[in-house]
Amino acid sequence: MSDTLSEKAYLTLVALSAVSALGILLAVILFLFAFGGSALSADFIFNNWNHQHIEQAGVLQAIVGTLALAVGVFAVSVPIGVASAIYLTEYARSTWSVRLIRLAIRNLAGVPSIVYGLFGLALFVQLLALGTSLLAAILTLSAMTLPWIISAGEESLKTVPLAYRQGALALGATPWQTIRHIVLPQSLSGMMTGAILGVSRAIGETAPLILVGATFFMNGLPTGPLDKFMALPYHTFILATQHADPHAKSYAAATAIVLIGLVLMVNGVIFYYRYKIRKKTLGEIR
Amino acid sequence: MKPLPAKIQVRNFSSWYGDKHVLDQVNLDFFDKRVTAIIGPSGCGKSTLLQSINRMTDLVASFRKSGDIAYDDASVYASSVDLTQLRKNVGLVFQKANPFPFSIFDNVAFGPRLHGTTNAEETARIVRDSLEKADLWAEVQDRLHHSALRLSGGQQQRLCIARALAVSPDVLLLDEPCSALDPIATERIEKLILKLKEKHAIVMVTHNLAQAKRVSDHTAYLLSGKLVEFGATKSVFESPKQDLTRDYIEGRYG
Repeated sequence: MSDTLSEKAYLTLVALSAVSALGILLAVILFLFAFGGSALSADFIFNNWNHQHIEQAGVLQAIVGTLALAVGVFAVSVPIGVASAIYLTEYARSTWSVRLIRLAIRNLAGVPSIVYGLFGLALFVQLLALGTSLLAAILTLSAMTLPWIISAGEESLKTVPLAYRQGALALGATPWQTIRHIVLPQSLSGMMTGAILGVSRAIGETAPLILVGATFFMNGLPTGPLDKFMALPYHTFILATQHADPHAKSYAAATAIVLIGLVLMVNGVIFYYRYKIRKKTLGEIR
Repeated sequence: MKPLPAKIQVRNFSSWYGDKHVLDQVNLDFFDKRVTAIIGPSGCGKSTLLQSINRMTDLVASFRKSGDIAYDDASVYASSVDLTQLRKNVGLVFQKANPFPFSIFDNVAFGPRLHGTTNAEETARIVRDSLEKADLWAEVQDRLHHSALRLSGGQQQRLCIARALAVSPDVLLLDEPCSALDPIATERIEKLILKLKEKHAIVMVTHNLAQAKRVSDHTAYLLSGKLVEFGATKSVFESPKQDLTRDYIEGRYG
């Protein structure tokens, strides 16, 4: 009897923990809407920013900037991350240098983002003379995202059964053909999970962007990778802390709503592709 | 019976995984159009010997060997050997059926596509031909594009045989192909092996002595990495020359 009682108590406890995660997300969204709901409108999403009349101002430039960052970071960090993961799990033997690389990657995943900001400022902005620009920001955030994507990639490569690899090699496949046709398709869905985590984290970042290229105000949209850009998190930060207008805080909350919406959208797109990949790799063909 | 040309010759072959000595000075021949069974207790080196022939043992980083194995009189360990070509010629079927998580069709087509068959009609012809040879066509012809993972264990193993046949191998290595199957599925595979030996040299590792007796022409008995006895299956089972062999086949061992 006491067994079933404690069983029930544990079940309730873990269920509550799960519910609380959802609760926190809902609370965040409710608060944001309570503060910023009134500031949301079509104009707010589709207009450019206007310092003087923030009631007419919109965050289109920041949306475009953040989207450009997301696409750029995905395009840079996913291929490099996947290639690194392939090298580390499929080719590298377990020597001390490979173990050192792996240790470095694990530790890099925990380095605070502002440190990446300083690194990006030194390397991309100054040494490589990219200036404070969209490109410098993409490269900085990609460096930050890379360890996550590599780790997720390694984990998902390791889940592909040895029997599949042996099957391909025994038919005369080269190691690369085995990776290309068997291992990669099987592990893509796990890699996409890493990409979701990494890119979501990157587009939510504020600190490194301040150092490498985000600006609070610009005329029109960026026209190329070497332009400065606006970004939703930084815009939220400025409105919440630096702007004199009494309504600025509700516009900060509205910007945060747009940011959350964008993160969900980007994740949704990656999720969709992951779902399609899964369906294919689980053998539900045609 | 006139002596057959040896398809595969194992000469003074020894191997190690790290410090573990697995095979010790093994010498034997495998013949074309014959089934050779390798028997012996677990851990005696049967699978290592089998997988040394198409060099799947290379995958183990700590693998070392001395001596040589020749296929059609050419060393498989020569530096000039093209592994892809070797493994095409010497196919391997594993103990546990390992179809890829693709459709039945794509499983069989995997090898030919890998080796450059691009024509769809040609691919379909090879797939059908291989499935027929593996005695599976009748069961799967209506669902070629269903997942191979939904097949039964015995069907999966025959699919793996079809997949190996699709790259037109000369020699087939079977690593305990029936050990995970029920008696009926086992019987079908045994019949299949007897049919396949008309065109291939077959080397089969097995735990099942009755199976070795039913299917093989020659039997090799390995114990602790040493070849104890090798000869015609009938004589190995009915009048073994070594006491060790007698102990094993009479069930006093392993």
